[in-house]
Order: sequence, then structure tokens, then C-alpha cells
Amino acid sequence: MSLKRHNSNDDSSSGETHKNHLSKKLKRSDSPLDELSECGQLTQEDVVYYQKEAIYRLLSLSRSRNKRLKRDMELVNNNYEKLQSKFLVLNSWWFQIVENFQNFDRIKESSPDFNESLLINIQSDNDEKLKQLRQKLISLIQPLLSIEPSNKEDKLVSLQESLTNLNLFKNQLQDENNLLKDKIEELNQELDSFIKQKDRSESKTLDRITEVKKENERDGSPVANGDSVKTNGTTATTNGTVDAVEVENLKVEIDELKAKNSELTSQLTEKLNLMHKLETKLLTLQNNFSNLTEADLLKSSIYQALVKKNTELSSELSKLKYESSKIEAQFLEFESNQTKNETKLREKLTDELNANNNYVSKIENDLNRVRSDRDELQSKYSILKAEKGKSELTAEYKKLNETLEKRIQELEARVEGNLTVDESDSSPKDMETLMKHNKLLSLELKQLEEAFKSARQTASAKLSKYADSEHYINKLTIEKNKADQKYFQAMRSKDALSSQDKRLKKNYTRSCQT
Amino acid sequence: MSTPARRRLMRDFKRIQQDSAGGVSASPLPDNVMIWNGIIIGPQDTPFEDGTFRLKLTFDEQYPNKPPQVKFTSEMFHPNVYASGELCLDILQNRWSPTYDVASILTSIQSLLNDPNINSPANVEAANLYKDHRSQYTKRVRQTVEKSWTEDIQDIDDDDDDDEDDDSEDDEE
Repeated sequence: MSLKRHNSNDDSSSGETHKNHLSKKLKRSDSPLDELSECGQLTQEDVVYYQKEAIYRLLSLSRSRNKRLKRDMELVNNNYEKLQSKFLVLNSWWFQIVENFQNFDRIKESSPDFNESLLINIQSDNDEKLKQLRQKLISLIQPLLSIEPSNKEDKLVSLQESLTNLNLFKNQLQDENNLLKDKIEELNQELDSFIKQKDRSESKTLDRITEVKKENERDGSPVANGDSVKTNGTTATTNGTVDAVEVENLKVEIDELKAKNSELTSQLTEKLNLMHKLETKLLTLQNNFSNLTEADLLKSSIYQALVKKNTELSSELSKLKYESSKIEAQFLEFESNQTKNETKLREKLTDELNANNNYVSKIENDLNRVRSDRDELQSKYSILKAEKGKSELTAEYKKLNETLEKRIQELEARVEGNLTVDESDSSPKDMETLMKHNKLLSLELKQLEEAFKSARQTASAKLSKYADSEHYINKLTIEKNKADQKYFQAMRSKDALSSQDKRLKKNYTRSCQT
Repeated sequence: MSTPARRRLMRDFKRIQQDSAGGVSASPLPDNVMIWNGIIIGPQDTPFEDGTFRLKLTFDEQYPNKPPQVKFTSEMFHPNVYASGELCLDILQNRWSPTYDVASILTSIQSLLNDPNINSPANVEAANLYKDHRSQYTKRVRQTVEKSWTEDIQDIDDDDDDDEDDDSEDDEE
């Protein structure tokens, strides 16, 4: 089988460590190319070979990386050593400069030996740059130390400027350095990919896999059914070592398949015969179905059920029709009753309306009559009231008459009494005087009577005049009342006429609308 | 006993032998045609490159009407592979079709390696790394690739040890 494990009889013992196992495997696979299969799917050996190659590729990549890293490491170490030595020199110079500036007062003279001792000498001979820098620094420091610190600030400014410039230069260099580093990294990656590509191109297992792919692509669509076994000549030739047992098995399988095939063929013929029979039966049935007779129909339970159902439905339909006609007649009757009732109600309503209108007009007439009666009675009442005033006047007049008559009688009685008393008690002389006096008094009385009569006549004339005027006023009042009554009657008749007019107008508009 | 499923599996085997796609291989066990061992080689220019990942395919009598159970026996770090090695792949579940055979299943799994479905993650850590920290994801995948080599070598060692034992026994005889 394809994924059979690779068996090898090389030396190894089971209790060794994993590292020993790996070294053992490397030793054992001396000729892996012999074990790589050429066609078909990958075998276990192919996979192991592939794995080994993959490991080899990884190792190769790691080795190149390692080499590069070692090289970088060496470079870095060298640089570090150089920088360390430079740093030490610069650091000592720095301390010396500080020391010199601290002891500034004591430096007055400048000899070559003294100048040489300003900064320590460099041990290594190959660092020319540093030597030059030392000389420059000495030349810079020496005049500074020898002169008075008068223009210190100016120099400080210039030093600061130079420092800024130097910083700028340093930044530029740093940027350049970063760029170069990136470039190196890119190149390293490219180198890695190149090594990987080279290894892959040299890999036989990968060639093997890609070959399979290419074959598939050349073949186009894969075989749809595995039943059609390819009898590829190349396969036969390359697989010269095909197992005889497998051939036997295949033969047995072919025999089995043949037997199964014959069985299936017989089954197929049986089924075909059955199908033919069924087809003929189907045809006869189809013919029968297209030309059905009454007897066939009667035989059919569905038809019978349908007929029964039909009769039931028709009886139900007739019942429903009868019910429908009955309901229709009832409906018509109800409709005629309704119209009758409607006309009756309308008539009754119009009668009631007319009666009401008549009653209203009668009531209106009665009201008018009552009002006129009331006005008449009011006028009579006023006349009676006036009459009553007249009778009172008469009664007062009578009372006055009586009072005057009573007074006259009293006066006559007193005169007669005086006369009688005088006649009995008086002498003839006196009699004469009395006679004279009596005569005078009688005369005076006559005169008084006449005056009284004239006054009475005047009073009665005035009274009668008053009565006449009173009578005249009453007459006028009566006339006025009568005129008022007439006026009210005319107003009422006017109101009645206007209401009648309104009613007529309303009727007219209604008639117009209708 | 020859059943439709067994016949179909034999056909699949013939087909995979004749027209095996690049980077996939599978064969049934010598004593049980219903269980297959498969191998997928990691696709080129992906983190899975050079890896050899082993799988176990278990079929039942309803095959090809029902999909097989597929499980990675090698250690895998992939968003759609559970820690147990089981796969979350639509064609092995609800989108299975009887037209798929063993070769097409393995090819689909091979293409899934570099094209995971992040929406239904079976391994949340792998999915998160794939989504947010791709370099970390690549590193973890490379580790599984290297483990896949040692697994096979260890297996071969075990087999060799057995062979040596057999040899020693033979010698003794």
C-alpha cells in the first residue's frame, strides 16, 4: 500500500536519545533517490523524503542566516572594541580638559612638552584620525588656556554653534545609517528567498509533486467514474513489480463482477418483460378509459357515489329553491305592508298637522277675542270708575245741601225762640222797639235770604258747570278708551295678518321645492 | 462483503492512485477499507509550506450519501480546526454532495489551510491571531509545521525499533 511505513534494517537501538535518532536517520538515508516513487500518489517514503528535504531546506536557510549573523556579530564586536578604546581615550581627554580648566590660573607658559602633556597620547598606531583630532584639540585648548578669559562668551557662542552643526550632521548620519540598515535587511530577506527558491528548485520531492499537478492539468478533467480503469502502458511497464497476488485478486474480482453482471442482465430482462406487459396493460386500460360505457360507469363506485351525491344535491337544491320562493313571497308581503303602513302614517300625520293648524288658528282667534273682551272690560271699568267719581260728587253735593238745610233750620229755630221769649217778658215800649228791630231784622233776613239764594244759585251753577265738565271729561275718556281698543284690535289683526302671510310664504316655498 | 459504500471507496482509491492531486495522498487501512489515513502537504508560499499533516477519514455504510468524519491526527493551529483535530468545513457538513470523493475532500482541506473562514472559528486563539497579529499566527503555524516532521520521524523510529526487535527475535530463532 502507498502509505506503508519505510522499513530499514540499519543499526540503532531503542533506548537512545532523540538526537541520536536524528543522526541515525541521516545516516540511514544514504540513497533516498532510489526510494522516490515516480508516479501515482505519494508513498510514505516520498513523504519522509519530502520532510527530510524540507528540514534540509530549513537547515540551509538557518545556516545562511547563522553565517550572516556571525559575520554581523564579528563586525559589531570589532566596532565595539574600537569604539570602546576611542571612548576611553575621549573620556580621559575630557577629564584632562576639565582638570586643565580647573587649574587655569597656574598655566602661564606654553612649551612643546607641556602641550604634549595636555592630552594623553594614543597607544595604537593605526588610528590616524584620533591622532589628528588630538592635535587639533591641543591646538584649540592651548591658546584658550594661555589667554585671559576676556572673550569667553563669544567663544561659547561659537562653540554652541559648532555643537549645533555637529548635532545636525550626526542626525543626518543617523538617518543615513537607518536607511542603509533597512537596505541591508531587505537584501538579507531577498537572499533568504533566493536560497529558499534555489533549494525548492533543486528539491526532487517538490518536482515530484509539481509533476503530478502538471499531469493532472494536462489530462484536463479528472476521470468521472473510477470504474473505467485505465490500462496505461507506462503504468504497466513502470510497475513491473506488480504483485501476482494482487493480479489474482483482481481476476477474482473480475469474475465476481462478471457473475454480478450476468445476474443483473437476467434481472434486467425480467424487468423489461414485466415492463412490456405493464405497458400493454396500460394501453388497454387507457383505451377503456377513453371509451367508457354506461355499464363501466355503473360498475365504478366513484360514479355511483357521484350519482348518489348528484341526486342528494338536486333534492337539496329543490328544497332550497322552495325555501327561496317562500322567503321571496314573505318578503313581498312585508314590503306591501310596509308601504301601506307608510301611507297610513303619512295620512295620519297630515291630518294631525291640519288639525293642529286649525286648532292653533282657533286658539289664536280665541286669544284675539279674549284680548278684545279684556280691552272692552277695561274701558267699561274705566267708565264705571268715572261714573263712580260722579256719584261721589253728587253725594257730596247732597251732603252740603243737607248741612245747609240743617243750618237754616237751626237758624230759624233760634230766631223763633228769640221771638217767643221777647214777647212774654218785654214791655210795650220795648215792644215797639222790638217791633222795629224785628222789622229791621226781617228785612235784613230777607236780604240775607236773597244773598244766600244768589250764592246758592251761583254755587249750584258752578257745581253744574263742574258736573258738565266732568261729564265731558268722562265722555272723552270713554272715547279715548274706545280709540285705544280699536288701535289694539288693529294691531292684533295686523299681527295675525303678518303671521298668516309668513305661513303662506312658507307654504309657497315648500310647494316650490316639491 | 461488498457494499455500495465499499465499492465506491475502492473506486475513490483507484482514482486517487491514478490521478492524485499534488500535495495530497490517502489510502485505506490494510484490514479496514472504511478507515483511511491521509496526508496533506502544506501549500507553497503559505505559513503551512513544507508541512506534512496527517488525517484520519472514517466512512460509514451510508457513504457517499453521508460525508465521512475527518480528523487531523497531526497537531494543527488553524482557525477552523478544533483542538481535537476535527474540522469545521461546510462541505463536510451541510454542503456535502455525493459527487465529492476522497481526493476532492483532501484538496478542499488543503485550500482551507491558507484560506480560513474567520466567521465560524473552531480555534478562537488562532482566529484572533490570524485577524489581529498575523506574524504571531505565522510563527505558531511554523511551529506546527516543524512538529509535523518530528511526528513522522518518531513514528518511523518506533517502526524501526519494532523491526529491530523482530530481527533480534529472528536471530534468536
